[in-house]
Amino acid sequence: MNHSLLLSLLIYLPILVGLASLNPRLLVLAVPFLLYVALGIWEKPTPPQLVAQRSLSPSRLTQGEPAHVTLAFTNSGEALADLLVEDVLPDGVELVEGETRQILSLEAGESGQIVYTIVAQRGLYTFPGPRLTVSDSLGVFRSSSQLALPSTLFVLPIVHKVPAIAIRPRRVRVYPGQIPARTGGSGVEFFGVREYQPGDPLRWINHRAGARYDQTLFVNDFEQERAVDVGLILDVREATNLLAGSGSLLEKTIDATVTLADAFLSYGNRVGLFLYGGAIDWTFPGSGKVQRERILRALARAKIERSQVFDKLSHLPTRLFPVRSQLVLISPLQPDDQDDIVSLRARGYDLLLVTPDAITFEMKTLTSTPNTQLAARLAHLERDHLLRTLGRAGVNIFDWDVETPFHQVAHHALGRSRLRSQNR
Amino acid sequence: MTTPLLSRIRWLMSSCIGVATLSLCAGVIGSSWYAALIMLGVGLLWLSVLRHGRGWVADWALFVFVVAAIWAGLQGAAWGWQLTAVVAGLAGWNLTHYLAHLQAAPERPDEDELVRRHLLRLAAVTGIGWLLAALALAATIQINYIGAILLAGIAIILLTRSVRALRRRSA
Repeated sequence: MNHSLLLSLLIYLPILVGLASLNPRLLVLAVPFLLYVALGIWEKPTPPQLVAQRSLSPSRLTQGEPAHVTLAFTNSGEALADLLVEDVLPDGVELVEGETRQILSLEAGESGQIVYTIVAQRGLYTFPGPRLTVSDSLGVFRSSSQLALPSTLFVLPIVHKVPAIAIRPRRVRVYPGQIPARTGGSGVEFFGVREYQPGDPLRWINHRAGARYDQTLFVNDFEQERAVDVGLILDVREATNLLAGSGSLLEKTIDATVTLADAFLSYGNRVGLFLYGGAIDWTFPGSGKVQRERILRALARAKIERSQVFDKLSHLPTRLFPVRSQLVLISPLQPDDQDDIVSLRARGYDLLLVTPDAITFEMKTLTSTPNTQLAARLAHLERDHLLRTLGRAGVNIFDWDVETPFHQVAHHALGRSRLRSQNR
Repeated sequence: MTTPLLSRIRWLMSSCIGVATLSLCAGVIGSSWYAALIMLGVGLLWLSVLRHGRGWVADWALFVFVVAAIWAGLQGAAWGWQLTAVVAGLAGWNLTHYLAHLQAAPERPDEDELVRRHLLRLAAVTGIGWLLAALALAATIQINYIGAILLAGIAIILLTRSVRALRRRSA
């Protein structure tokens, strides 16, 4: 019940009953309440005037790391007898040490601070301003307000290092890298034999080939290794990303995307990231540490999106990706995505499809009954058919059981041994 | 987090509620045993706030105490008991909410000073309130009914105006 309403009622009630019953002694029961309210009015607090500053250390952290928050404030107005300061935490942020609420009295010019430690899941968090509640010393009148003091905290996904991911797009860049370029030159892997040219290192001379011809020398040619353009497409559509139990398939696909982005960038490639599902969220291609940070930040704020426009892959803006470059699509897939993926291949892109097994993921949270088992079996058949069709269209597919973390299986499934086995 | 200071407030609050309940029981026991038992039940219900911390129980308990004090007064019970019950009830109600307010924030840098100031104010208000009311009971002023109505009307109008002004200021 509202305090002032209750007190008013308790003041008026004895007065009115006393008047109605012609009993003056009843009026005295209102006296303590009158005095109580009078003191509240006398000490009624003015709106607090606080100058506050919040510092987050660090303001960019990796999932699971703690961040230390200090909220310092100074009273620039009148003295406050009873002040409750509460630093409101955004949803998803967990307090691990200290307190976010503090009750204190602040004289004019006096300062205070709240120190606490938080941890958070992947995401971009905006702290609203601290909530202030002032009251008189008896707590008769209370007024609340909120300071405008927004701060931003980036919690980036954890990066797992994996050895080189084997890709072989038809188009390479002029810069040196680790991707075989299908042209001869300096490199590591044997590419062919050509006639000796003045200036060629003598240790490249292939004596066995030269022995077959008079007056002609041959040298070994190696396959050049260059950097390439890689377009990562992360599917954030609501229809494909399941929320099963406390886990989300999106978190798994984000882990895979982070691992892939880091692997491609660490070998000097130019990587762009497109979050497909909501509005156009495109991280322009780039390379190096700055680009890695950009991609991590884009992935930190990635969430499941619902859009009528982007509910199918047909609206993927392919103009963003250079022709014949490498595309990596990370998606649990929908049955009707087949044609759109095949059309990407038809446009000349080299496509690597990393597809987490959504059916197995969901089945782990369902009670095993004959009906669910039959449904899972049918869904698996449909998925196998889809993957086989895509495989026939030339799409490299990695069917990933999300029970095993991506970085643990990526080395064997996507390493160079994959290309060698394909070549055989 | 319960500190020794909070425990002391809790003890004080229980004492106030106990005094209010017993005073009210003592006041109404002459008129009705049942009413005394009911008051005892309400007092115990109020004390249960210590366990579950629901503030609205204290609001309703104070309201019931005041209504019971008015009823006992109309039945001709001794006024000292009713006044003591109301004043102790007010103190108990205030401490119930103050305890909840303090418990809402585990961090209280100058807790001793804060609580001391609150308890001093509360003691002053309840003490002076009790004294003023007792003096008013002892004093006899002869006014006619019209005069009483007029005075009460003025009091109500002034009170209403002050509450309205207050609400406007806080808005």
